[in-house]
Amino acid sequence: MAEEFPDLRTTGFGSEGLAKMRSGLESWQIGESFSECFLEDHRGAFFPYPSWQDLKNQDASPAGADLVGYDCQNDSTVFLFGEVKTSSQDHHPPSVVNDLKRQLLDLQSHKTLNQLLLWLGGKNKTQKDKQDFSKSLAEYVKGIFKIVGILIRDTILDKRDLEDAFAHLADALRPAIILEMLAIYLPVPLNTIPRIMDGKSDYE
Amino acid sequence: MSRHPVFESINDPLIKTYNEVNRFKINRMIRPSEAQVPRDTNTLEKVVGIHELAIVDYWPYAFNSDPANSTKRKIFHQTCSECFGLMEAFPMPENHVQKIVHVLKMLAYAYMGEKWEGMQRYLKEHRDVLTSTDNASWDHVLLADICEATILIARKTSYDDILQSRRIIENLRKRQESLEGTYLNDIPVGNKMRAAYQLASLYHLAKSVDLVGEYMLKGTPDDIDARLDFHFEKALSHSEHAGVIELDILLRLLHATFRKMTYNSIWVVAKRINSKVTEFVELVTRSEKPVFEFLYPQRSAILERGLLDPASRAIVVNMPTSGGKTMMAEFKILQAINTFGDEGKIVYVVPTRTLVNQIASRLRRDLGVEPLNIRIEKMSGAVEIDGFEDNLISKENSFDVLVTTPEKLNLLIRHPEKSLAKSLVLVIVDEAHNLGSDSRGLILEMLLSTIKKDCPRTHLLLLTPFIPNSHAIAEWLDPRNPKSISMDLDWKPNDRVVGLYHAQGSRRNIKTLFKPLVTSESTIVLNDEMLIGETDNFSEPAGKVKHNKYRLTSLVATQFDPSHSILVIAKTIDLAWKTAALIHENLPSEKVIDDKVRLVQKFIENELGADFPLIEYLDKRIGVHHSGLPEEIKNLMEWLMEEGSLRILVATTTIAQGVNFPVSGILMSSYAYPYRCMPHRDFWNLLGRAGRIDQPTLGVIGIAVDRDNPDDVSKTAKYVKEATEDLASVLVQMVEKAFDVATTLNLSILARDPEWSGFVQYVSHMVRQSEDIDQFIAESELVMRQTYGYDQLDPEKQGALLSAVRDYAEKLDRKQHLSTLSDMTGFTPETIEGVMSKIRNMDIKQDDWNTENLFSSASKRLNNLVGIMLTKIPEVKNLSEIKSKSTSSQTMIRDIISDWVSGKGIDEIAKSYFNVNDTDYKDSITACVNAIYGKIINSATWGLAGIQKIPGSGLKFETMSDEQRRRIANLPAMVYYGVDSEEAVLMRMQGVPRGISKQLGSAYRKQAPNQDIYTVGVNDVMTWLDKLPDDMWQPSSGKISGTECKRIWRRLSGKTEMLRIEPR
Repeated sequence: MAEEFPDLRTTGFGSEGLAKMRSGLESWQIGESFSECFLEDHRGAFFPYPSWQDLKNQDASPAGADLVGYDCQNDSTVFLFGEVKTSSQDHHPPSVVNDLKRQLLDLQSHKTLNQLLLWLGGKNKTQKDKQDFSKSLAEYVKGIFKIVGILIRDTILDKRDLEDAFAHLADALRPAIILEMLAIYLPVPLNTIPRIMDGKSDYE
Repeated sequence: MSRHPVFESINDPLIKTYNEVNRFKINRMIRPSEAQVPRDTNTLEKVVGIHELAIVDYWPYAFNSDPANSTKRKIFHQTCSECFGLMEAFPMPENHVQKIVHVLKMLAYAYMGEKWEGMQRYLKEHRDVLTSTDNASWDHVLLADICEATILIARKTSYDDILQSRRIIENLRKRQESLEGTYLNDIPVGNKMRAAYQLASLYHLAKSVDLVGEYMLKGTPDDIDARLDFHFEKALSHSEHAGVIELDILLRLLHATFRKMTYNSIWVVAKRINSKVTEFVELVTRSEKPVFEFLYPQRSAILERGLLDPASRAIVVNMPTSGGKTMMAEFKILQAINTFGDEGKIVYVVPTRTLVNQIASRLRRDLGVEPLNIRIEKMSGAVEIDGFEDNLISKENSFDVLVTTPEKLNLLIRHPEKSLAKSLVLVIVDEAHNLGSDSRGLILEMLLSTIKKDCPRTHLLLLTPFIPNSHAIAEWLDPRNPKSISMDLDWKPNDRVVGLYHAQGSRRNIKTLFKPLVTSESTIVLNDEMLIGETDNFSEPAGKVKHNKYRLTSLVATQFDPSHSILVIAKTIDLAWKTAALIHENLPSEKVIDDKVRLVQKFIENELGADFPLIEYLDKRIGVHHSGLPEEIKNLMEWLMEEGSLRILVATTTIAQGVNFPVSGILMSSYAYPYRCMPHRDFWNLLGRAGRIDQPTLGVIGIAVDRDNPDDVSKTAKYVKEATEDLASVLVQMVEKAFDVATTLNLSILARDPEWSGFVQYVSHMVRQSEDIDQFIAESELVMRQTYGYDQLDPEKQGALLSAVRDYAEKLDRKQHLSTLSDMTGFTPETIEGVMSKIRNMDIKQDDWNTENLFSSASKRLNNLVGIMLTKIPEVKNLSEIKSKSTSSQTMIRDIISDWVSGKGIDEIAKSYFNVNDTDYKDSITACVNAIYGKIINSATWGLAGIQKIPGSGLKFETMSDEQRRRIANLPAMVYYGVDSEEAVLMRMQGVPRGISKQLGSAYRKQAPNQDIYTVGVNDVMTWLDKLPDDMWQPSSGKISGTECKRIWRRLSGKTEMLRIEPR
């Protein structure tokens, strides 16, 4: 993969060590990409840039969020922050829902959000980016923004997966915050998706 | 100024936070032990967060020049600057990575907010921001070291900081091989690729830091911006793949910061102009106190607002103190030298003798060295041209830049034979707001009017602290293409707070409080009062302190934290002494006294005797500075202040003029000059000294008020909040005043008033310059329009003035020789006529004009001449203020001059003439210094030099050799310098203390007995003095050693500031 870093030569640092690195697609990445597409296609969300989780430097700052973008409903645009969990566990709710709850609660923290917004705002390029950001910022300082929790499942549909969590969060989050929780049930096992994407699976 | 809309939602916490932060900063200055970082860090963090969001929201508008976005741009810069100010008060995060993020964000906001010098100061204060990264993983090592390298190029206190920054990056390259592999091996398989991207991103960042370092040192590569863009784009792209939000944010901020840093770099201007400028830039980047970046006003003036635009004949630069005016002037000088080479002369005009010395030594340090070798000369403030100066203007190519006062330049330009007018290409006028000064404004106005008329190709650069109508001044000087560059509205040199202080309490229990009124940061007003201190052992009771401002001020001065230096302003000399004494009485003794203070104490003892109270005050690091002290001692007080050796300097309001040392705080027991209110621009100019950019803390300025007198409080508060006045012509005031007492103007009568002398001389000079009287009459209105004041008069008064000028010109037409003499002497034709009629019968011989005859004790000749000055020369009228109780003023002045020239010390002269009825010793010194420095050295020198040139003086210049002529011309200079030989005058010109100048002058003469001392260059004398062994510096009498004496000289001559060039 030396071609990944051809420009390193101009820095005076070597590129050989980095060129050896490889990695495959992770299931959480699949979940996040899937959620982004779903929210954009069906719920009026808009993600100008793929949002990545804060990988490292956990000691440097509060954790990030899986999804950072805008929620556009009619004339109003607000910031959207989301967390995504995937689980095949045959238990309802699956244990990851506890993590999801905690992460969504943490998203209220201004430190976390500030960081995410600096990141998002830093990428404003088009006129629309700038407008969306300014409009959402005006709402944000009034405390209005959207938090979305998504659970991706390859089990059968079960209301209990999110019922309690939603009730708990609706109560615990500040009232101006718009909360939405979704569970998406896939018709195929999660672990087959990389193979499907590579065209190696029997599923159509 | 409007703010970003996000702040509307947080108005209350915003005000609360600003209050807390300001309170913290003020406390840090007054009572550091009480200075708590804001308690509610959560709110502070939130408020900083909102600032950051406002910044990121307006970021897209910040870096384009579309005029439609100018408001958003301004808000962006303002918000960045405020955000930096808030973060300064933030406790430093303990976590290593958080610390890095915090500091780098501050750096970025400082640069975006045009406050980089604030960040430089912060980094000098917080040397602990860099911590060791031993045993850390490779990614942490990289991040920490890149941060350190970045901080070094931001701090750049020396050339070495930047070299060190580059070394750090080089070292990282060397360590990569051994550390990178281990680090990547330890990363879980799924994250390896992202880790690799993160490293790649950091490598590009490291390269960017290295590039900026190289650019700061050498001004290369030329395509620095394109290279930075390339590396940051790569770094950002890799960081996106790595998915590290924090890195992504930092990269964006640092990209903008580095672009700004290179844009600010002084190399940018080198590329726009040429060789001399490039050499200059190389020099200043390698000097002891290097300059790598322009301050905002410098960059803005030079790069954006056309300071160096050759099409503008007159430019007025209007900016606050400490915005780096002198360097702007230096660039202008280099540009002129580039354009005109040896052909053109440049004059740098400053208002005071002290500034002549300061600016000349600064210019010599910066421009007078290899390879520039620009010849800088200075001329004394005396209104006469001495022998050495005569030689200087007679010789071709003797100098490039001359530093002098307006009065002297007036003579040089009007000189009938050796006028500078033809060769003058650039005149720089420093402290040009003096145009509005009652006492000297007219001279400056007439000087500029003369330059406009006589020197059409001369360019003018006026440097002034804020005046609202600077454009009107520029229009007056160059109606076709006026340019005024105004800086005050969008840049503040430092954070400062202005407020009132007062005392409360009863008997011995006194509490002092400070109420802030105006802060430089924003319009936010702090409503509450802050405690300065509480005491029960001040030597004066509460009742006296509350209602007496000098006592109140003395108490507050003792309560300020001793690690900061403060300036205390008193209304009069007497009050300055009283204040210093009271402070001294109430401060504890210092444990250690630094050797500079000791040195100055010895010098004062040598000059004024061991009982002079200032010596004792200095034991507690209290200095005094006012016009009752000899020039040299005032100069040394400034030096101690600059060096941080003084805790408190007590001065009078007159210090507002032209001193140049920074202080952390100013306490004003008065904001009035004797007999009148201080103009606002002088007030703000003085305040500009507080909390200057190189000072570590917020500048605190307090004005004493009596709280029991509501009128005093409201008047003072109103004064502080009032805007600076427009600069008005003094000529207008004079005409108005003349019409108050008469219905017509008669210049022959008005000429007897020293106030009108400058104007009458201007008219006389213009008459002389005209071909004939008819031409002058025809052009007289044009001549009047050259002045700044004429257009400001109403038409009726314009008409009256014009007809007075015409009448006067017609009278003068019959006496052309008087105009010529007027141009040579700086007297009006009326004065000259008066002197002529008087000396005609005195039978003065050429022989009377030699040192021995003229200055011998009880010299009859000198007595006559002083008599003429007192009765016939209104221009030197202030001599008559020297009063004697036992004899006539005339005799006393004669005797003082004689003693002064013979080398007697100030203490001796004070005892002989000012010690009537057991006057307090220091008061007799004050009276003596006032008489000599305030009157004799200016007026008697001017008077003598003038009389020499007037027919009847017994001098036949036409039959003299050049050398004889110069010897005669040096007699007045002996009065000016207080010595009795030409060699000693030469020594004094180079800053040699008066007490040793005769001795060194003889030594100089002895080593080269046949040399014509008029032809020696400044550098030769300076080098000779510098190499002279210490024992030669030992005064024949006195307590100061040769080594000490030489050290004092080095300071007085500005020699200690010499440039050190480091090898590349």
